[in-house]
Amino acid sequence: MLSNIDTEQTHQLLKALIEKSSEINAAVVTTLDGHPCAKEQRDDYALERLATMGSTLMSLGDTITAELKMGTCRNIISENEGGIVAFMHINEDLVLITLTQQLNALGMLLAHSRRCAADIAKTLKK
Amino acid sequence: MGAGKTTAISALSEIPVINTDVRATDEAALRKERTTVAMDYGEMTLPDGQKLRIYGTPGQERFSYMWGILMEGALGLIILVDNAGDNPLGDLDLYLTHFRPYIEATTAVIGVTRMDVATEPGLEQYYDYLMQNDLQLPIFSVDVRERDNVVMMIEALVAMLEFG
Amino acid sequence: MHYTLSTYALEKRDKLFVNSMLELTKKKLGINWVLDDTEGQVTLVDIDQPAGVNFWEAYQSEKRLIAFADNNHVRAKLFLEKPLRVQSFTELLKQLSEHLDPLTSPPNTATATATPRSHTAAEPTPAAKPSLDAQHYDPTQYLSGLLQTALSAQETQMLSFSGFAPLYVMPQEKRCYTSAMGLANLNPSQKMLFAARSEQFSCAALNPALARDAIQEQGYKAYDIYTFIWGSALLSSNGRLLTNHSMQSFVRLKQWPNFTALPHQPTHMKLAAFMLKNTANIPRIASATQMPLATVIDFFNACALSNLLHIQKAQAGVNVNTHAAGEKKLSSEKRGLLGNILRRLGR
Repeated sequence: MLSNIDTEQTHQLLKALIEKSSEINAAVVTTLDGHPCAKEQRDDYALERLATMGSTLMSLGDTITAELKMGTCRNIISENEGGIVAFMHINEDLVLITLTQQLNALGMLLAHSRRCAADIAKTLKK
Repeated sequence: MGAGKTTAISALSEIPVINTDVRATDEAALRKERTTVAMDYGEMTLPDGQKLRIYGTPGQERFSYMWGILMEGALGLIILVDNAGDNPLGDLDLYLTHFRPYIEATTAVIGVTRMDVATEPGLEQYYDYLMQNDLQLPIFSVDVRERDNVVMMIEALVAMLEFG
Repeated sequence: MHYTLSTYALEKRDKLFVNSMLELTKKKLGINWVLDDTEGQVTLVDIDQPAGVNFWEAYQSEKRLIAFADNNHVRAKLFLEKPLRVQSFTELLKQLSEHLDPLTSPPNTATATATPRSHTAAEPTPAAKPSLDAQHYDPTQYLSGLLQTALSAQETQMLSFSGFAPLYVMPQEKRCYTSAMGLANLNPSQKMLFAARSEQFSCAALNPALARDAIQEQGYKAYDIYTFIWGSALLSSNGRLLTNHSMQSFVRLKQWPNFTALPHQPTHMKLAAFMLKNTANIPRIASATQMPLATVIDFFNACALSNLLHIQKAQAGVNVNTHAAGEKKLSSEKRGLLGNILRRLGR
């Protein structure tokens, strides 16, 4: 799905996201069929598994929005007792998953993650 | 994986099958273009108006968290194995090991697909596997594009639930 | 000549069992009893059912009744204890037939066995025709026997049956080749082929290479040789048990028959499901699955000739587990659901 150069560039963008946004604890890019391509985190999350589950969830989101004729699914947000997880499309084949432990950081998480997803998409187009 | 779960559900469902197929990017792509990552869903209305809901799970082990979710409260289980896959008996072992507690409490039916593409392992080897693992389950060679073959597996499942 | 039996207030499975046992009585004792629920000479009444008790009280002085119950609480002269047993039932019918006048009008053939019709020029002489009244099924008189002989002799053969594409038997490959047929839904002439007697086939030994050329030229489909051995046994047994086997032997399926490659009816799935999980004799299988005895025997024969059975001879005093896995006790709700699924699938 991604060449070595693409993977490295994507990894750099994830690294920058984590460094710039202290609230974001982890970020992972996965193919839509559940294979992680790049990941970065400050903690010790099982990101491989998160990547696969993210593909499942994103696909369900796409199926639900198609069923409801609501266009394309932009992102899925899981708000939890211990934090927030956001899943969003980078392009038609890749998904970005980010998470924060800050319960009041949803806006920031979505804003930074969307920008990062757009940057990755732009890099891959080149 | 690639055994035809989505096709089998399509053969029975009276609604267009709701699926979560995406483009395959790994070794699966060599055998098929798309793969299920969450579930397939089909429906059949029974004569008394009840709906029989048919769920298909993703085949790859990395999606095994979905298996438990979709099996919750299920009436029965049909396992499809692609005989033209890299290790069909290994695939069967993976599914039977994972689902063994459920199978012992209820039952399961095994359908071996694409035996026309790969003749080995033959059904005898599947029978041997079941015997070695002390499992008595119906097993068929099937072409899931044929509705009759899919119906036959359901019939066997019903018979096992009733008499087995 | 025949005698007639009615039933009243019997549960469905008991009625099916009675029907099977009437067939057995005919085969074993040569006494023809038929079910006639309108005007039987004798009526079997389930007096454990409220309707049965009412019937008993209303008709015990007018009709010849057999009480059927856990206990003979009505002190009936003719009584059968639950569950029905082959021995006591056939004995009672035998005794009754000695005291009743047989009827001569054509019976309602609820239990009549089908007689296969020959349609070829190779009609056997009456003397050579195997008797369907024979107690046992001899496969050597049918297609299954021809195929088994070809297998043991390892001889390539072409079998011709009037009105059908030739059947090429290739024992080295354990295959037969002929024109394509839908095994789950045989048409009447295909059924005739499977039920045909060996004399109705003309057999020719062939060079395997020549046979292969012919098969290729005609584009014939390959079938496992056991597809035909199984099909022949299933369709030509007519409720007669395979020679050298006992109804009382305990049997269990070694493996599930691959029904996608075998002629079958939906009922055979039920038998296979029960026999895959349970060790039981033929009458027990019939009662547990509520199948006519003849159907169970035909299925038994097909499985036995296809080497699919573990058979354990019944021995007096030996405690054989008749239901290894325990018979299923389904709620009526679940049973109804399963029935609805089958109905929806047109089965």
